[in-house]
Amino acid sequence: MSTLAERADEVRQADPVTFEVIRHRLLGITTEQAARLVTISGSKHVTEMSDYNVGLYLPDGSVAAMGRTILFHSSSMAATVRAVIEDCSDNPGIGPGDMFVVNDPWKGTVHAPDFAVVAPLHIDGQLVLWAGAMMHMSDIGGMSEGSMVQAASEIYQEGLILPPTKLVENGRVRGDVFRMILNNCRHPATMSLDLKGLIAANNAAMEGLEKLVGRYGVERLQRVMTALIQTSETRLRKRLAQLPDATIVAVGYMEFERTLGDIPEVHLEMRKSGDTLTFDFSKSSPQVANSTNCTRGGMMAGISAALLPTLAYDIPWNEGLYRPIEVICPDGKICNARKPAAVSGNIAGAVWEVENTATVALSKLVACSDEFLPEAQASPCGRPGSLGFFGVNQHGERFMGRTYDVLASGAGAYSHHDGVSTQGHHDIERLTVSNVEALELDLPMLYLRRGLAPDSGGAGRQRGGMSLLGVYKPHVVSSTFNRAGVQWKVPDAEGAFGGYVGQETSSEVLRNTDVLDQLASGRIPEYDDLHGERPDGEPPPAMVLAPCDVVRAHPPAGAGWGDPLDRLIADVQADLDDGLVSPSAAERYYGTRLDDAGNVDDAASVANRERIRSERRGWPARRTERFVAEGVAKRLQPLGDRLEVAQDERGSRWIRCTCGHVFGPAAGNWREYAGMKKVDPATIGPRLHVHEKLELRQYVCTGCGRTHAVDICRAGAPDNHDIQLK
Amino acid sequence: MSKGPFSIGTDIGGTFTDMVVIDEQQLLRQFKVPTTPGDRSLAVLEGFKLAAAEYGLSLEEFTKSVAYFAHGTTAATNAYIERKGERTGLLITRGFADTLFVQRAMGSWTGVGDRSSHYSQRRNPDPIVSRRDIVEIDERLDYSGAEIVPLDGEQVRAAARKLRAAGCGAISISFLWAFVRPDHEIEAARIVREEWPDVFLTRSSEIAPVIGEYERTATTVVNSYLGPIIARYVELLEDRLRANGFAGDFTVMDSAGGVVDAVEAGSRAVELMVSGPAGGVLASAALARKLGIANVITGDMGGTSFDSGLIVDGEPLVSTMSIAGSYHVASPRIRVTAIGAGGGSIASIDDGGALIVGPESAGAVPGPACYGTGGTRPTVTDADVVLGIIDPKYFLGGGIPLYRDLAEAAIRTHIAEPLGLSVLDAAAGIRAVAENQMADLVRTVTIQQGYDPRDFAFFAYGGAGPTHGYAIAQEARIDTVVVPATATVHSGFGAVSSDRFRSFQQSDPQRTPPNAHDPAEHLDVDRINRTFAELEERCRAAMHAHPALTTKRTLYFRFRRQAHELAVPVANVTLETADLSALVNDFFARYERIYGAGTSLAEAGIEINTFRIEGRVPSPTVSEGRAPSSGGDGSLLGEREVRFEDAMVRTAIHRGELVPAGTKLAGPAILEFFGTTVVVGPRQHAVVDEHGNVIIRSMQETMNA
Repeated sequence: MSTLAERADEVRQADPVTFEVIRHRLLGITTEQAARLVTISGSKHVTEMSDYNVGLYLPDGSVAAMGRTILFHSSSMAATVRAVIEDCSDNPGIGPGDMFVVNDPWKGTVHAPDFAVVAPLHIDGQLVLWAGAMMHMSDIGGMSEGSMVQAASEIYQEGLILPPTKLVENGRVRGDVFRMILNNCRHPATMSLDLKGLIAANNAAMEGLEKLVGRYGVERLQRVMTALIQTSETRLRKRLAQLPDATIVAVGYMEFERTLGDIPEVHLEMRKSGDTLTFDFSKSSPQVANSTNCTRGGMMAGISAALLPTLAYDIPWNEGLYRPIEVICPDGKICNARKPAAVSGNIAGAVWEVENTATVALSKLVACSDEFLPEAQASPCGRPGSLGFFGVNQHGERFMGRTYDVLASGAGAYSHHDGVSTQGHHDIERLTVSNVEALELDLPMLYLRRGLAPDSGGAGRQRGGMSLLGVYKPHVVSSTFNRAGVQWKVPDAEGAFGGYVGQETSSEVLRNTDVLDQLASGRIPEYDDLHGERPDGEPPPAMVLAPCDVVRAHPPAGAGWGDPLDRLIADVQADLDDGLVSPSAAERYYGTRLDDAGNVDDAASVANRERIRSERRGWPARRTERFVAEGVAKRLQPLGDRLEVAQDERGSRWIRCTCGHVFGPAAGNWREYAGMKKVDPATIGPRLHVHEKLELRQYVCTGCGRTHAVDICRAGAPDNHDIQLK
Repeated sequence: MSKGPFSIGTDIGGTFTDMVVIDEQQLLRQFKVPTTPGDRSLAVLEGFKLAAAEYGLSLEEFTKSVAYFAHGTTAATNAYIERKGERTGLLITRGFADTLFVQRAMGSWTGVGDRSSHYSQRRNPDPIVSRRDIVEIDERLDYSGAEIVPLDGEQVRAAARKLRAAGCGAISISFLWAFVRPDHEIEAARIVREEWPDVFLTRSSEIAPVIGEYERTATTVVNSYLGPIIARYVELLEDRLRANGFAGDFTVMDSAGGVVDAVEAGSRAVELMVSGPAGGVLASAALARKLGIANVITGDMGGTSFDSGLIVDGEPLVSTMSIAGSYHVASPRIRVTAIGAGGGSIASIDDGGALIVGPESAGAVPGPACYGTGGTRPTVTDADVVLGIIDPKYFLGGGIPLYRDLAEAAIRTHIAEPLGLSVLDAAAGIRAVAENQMADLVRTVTIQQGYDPRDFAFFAYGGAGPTHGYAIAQEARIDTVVVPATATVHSGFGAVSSDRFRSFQQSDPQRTPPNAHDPAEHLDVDRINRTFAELEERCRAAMHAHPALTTKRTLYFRFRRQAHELAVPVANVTLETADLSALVNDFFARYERIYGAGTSLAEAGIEINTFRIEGRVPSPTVSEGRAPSSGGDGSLLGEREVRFEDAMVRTAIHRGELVPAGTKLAGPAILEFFGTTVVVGPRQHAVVDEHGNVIIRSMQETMNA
């Protein structure tokens, strides 16, 4: 491969125009693939959530060009092509005009609803390139409608599982295979269109590629594709080399205590050395008996979704981005499960936590570089819990409804700005959610409020983005709601460098309220002004709600960056004005004091913040040694924007607060020397609940009283040691 | 020399204000004056002066003889971009104050293209209405229009007082489901006017009665934000013209290709956003009809962007939704897609060593390097000069001298040397990369709509379009290229030559159950007739019941669970269920024609949603030809070396205006016109018709013909 790569590099240098023209044409072909898929499928999975992908691949499956869709899928297609090569080359054989369908999560997909169709391009009998397209199908059979089965304990309960299977043979769709697929899902007409869309997308790619081959020849085209991959690899390696060598640890805990009796975790140790990056998930929990697991395909998807926008935001996305990366994880882990693990619910499970831990780890890595610090972010948002409901709608038709409001989460904060409100899940580059009018037209529901959820973004010097809050009720008829009234107790949207945790998923139900009376009397009530019954104890998995029952759904939101006491008073005031931060949150998390008119009282706030800092300066540290730098210590590099590594005149390296206070040696864990307190979740965020097996710890500088970390830990565990620079 | 009456079309662009004057013999003259950003009406007046001089008249004599003045303007867009609109208050259903901030989660990626992948740089747009100027009102309807909560009029009154006292200058009202039943909005508007009689007020059920509270609210707010500014702008321009004796009709073009009486422009300001490109597409549609061409891809290539629209079966493709700045607005517009590729687009090398062109542009300042006005970075125009395509001595008829050496130096320093190429190869590379990007866009706009670009002709206009059109077409496998006689002022020409046109749309969603034997039986035919009758009524009123008015009805269908809406024409009669069945079948047939056999999903049930009506009064103005040339014998100026593909080729150079009608010129050839350079490629030939349009065809087609 290296000689081809070298020749490819020569191509780029010798003929930069052809290189650029072909690069554009390849992207143009992926745009045509996507257009063909979207027009024929028409499914909202592709038109609104962009839950599909298309791409072009070298004969070995290396992705050379891909579409711009959900980031999870950027790695899965290449794995699928490789599975087809491995499984089908001999039997049934890969010939001209063939296409193969795959949805087996052990053959590259994230979960079984993701159907990929890949097609080889043969020129003069020789396989020269591949094209592929995949999308999320609305149903593939299995235990429940939609085929995302929370309760499944084995993949066999999750619907139709296709290993690489020949769907099109020499240009002709295999009727038997096509009918077999349709026969196994609940909406055969929709499935038929979606499959036709995938086939048509590949046909579009074949037409485009044949023209390109006709014009430039196979060898030149392959060389340019190889050069494209080479260029992306070179650029990512160059970027990695500019970052300091370090080992970063990040952990994501998952909520399944009630069913599994434990809190499983995805544990990432990320090692960056020279121009390479290793993601090591060896210390993650073993696979579990529900559908939260993921396969290696899902793990790669999570890593891709973290990597692309954090390190490769300006580098063409292709195989080259995976070459500097090594992924280690033994089989049987929750993020690299063995068959027959159930995996359909992993988007809000292991895949989510792989993405979350990788995003946090990459952010902490770039936060140790002055140049790339602006790319670092706090955790995007916690695992979503989607609230579905079903029944017979106002038009007398059976329905299964979701609002997808939960997708419109606020983003994590950056050092230089607040998280963007309702930006959407980190893995969805371009999200669209439905209008309330579109939802109310189809579903028997009436919204009393939909807007930005106040206080949802984690507090911080820069706060997390706000998510989309919904208060609604059944309208005209009753419906059955799944998982209404849940309160998650395992937060995973950790703040960065002293920022606070983002709001976690929860929902409230109030039954037999006076909402209809209040509406009839001429007012639209706020949820808190309703009178009704709050169900006791754990909510049942499903409950029938009537038009007098009201649901308030709190979505997860982005985490904060930096100590909230450092937030500009003017920014707190602006958030109060916009209703994004409540008066009680302004006082409780931001340490401000409000006057009688509800405005921030500057002088009282400054004094109060100083009082809080002074109290924190007295918090005890685990280790009591005190260090003083010898002479003037010179700053070497940042650790976030309020901690730094400095070297003193004797050559000793220290980690210190930007106030000048030295924590301890750079080779150690600064947290051990910081003031620490196990904190009440209520001091960190509203509606924040923490399971008894976990605890929240706040670490502060005993010099100036600034918070440098708020960690989510297992109860009694040693201090997190998240960043160790080489 | 003509003394009128004259018809005038203008289009105010970022760099130039274009003006087209058509005299009583339907002969046409074109003028270009620099745009005057401080007060854009000054450039229009300057254009009038130039034209008056050309016709040998005083400004007053000329202005008095102008019977019709049609104006295309970017004033609305500019006011929006510069955030110079009126402070507007918004009354909205209680519980929905954040609708404009949430933007259906699209705020941080709309309009930024591929840069949405750079997460750390994403932001939601600065809101055009402040949260504290939004007042929630108790009132609520449900999807069927049933009243859940009556309107609280006292809250409306208090809000009007509060917003007026706070310094707002305009009011917007947008209530949930108001497009189904506007009563609450109408009553709220009445109360606001009682409190504040002269306020500029927009209500959602009037400006955009369509489903979707975000888009409807955005449309309402943008209209209130821009309305007062546009009203003042149009008034000022009209006053300037009237002061010089203008007594004719004054109209403004909207984004849907509609022509509005100037006095109305303010009240429909949101519909003037992106009105510029619409004129060019409309003029292309009119020209296509004359030339007998059914399907056209338009390509308007100016200094900074390349805008492409579609004409299918003679009609421009219309969107029911468009993006205005960072908001999505529900006002119809002629669909135009743009990329940052124009004559001024800058070529550079990215840090992976690849040659890229645009989207960064040298703009008017500093301009391409060859302008000699301070630009040092190479642009597409610089490449054209170096390759011999543009004669540096005949740019804008020699009005602006260009410097070939500066173009060479820029390409050498920034492209040729770093890549180890000759300057000529580097210039050819810049051109090839830019043309490929435009060809990709052409393919995308057609294929995304389910069309094959090879079934279309390509109309190339704008200053740079005719220079690159032949190559874009070749790249996209299009056989016919038309360079309109009015290529450099095509949008202005579109404004003056277009029919008087208005369109109205209204949502009234109805759906049929899955697996229905005849879906039409499940649609409420009386409701459909009533909605069309109401739209017809509104349209007739807006067009002052003009005797020559004709209307056209359209109903948008889609399959349930599917996203694509398709327009189906509807006869102007009271429909019966049997007619509906025919419409449904028509929809199935159209759907399969566009998306392929077997793609229709009848068993899912169908949904009708948007009703649309278009009213049209034919334009009295048609151009039957260009102005007579000032004489001269023969058009051939000589030959020069021009780079095509890999080699320099001796190429015939013609003075475009002097090429006799009907002459067939074999490519390669260059036709230099006053405002643009038309290039005919090596395997193409060109004919100039009697109206001055240049029609370029590939040789292949000639051989087959």
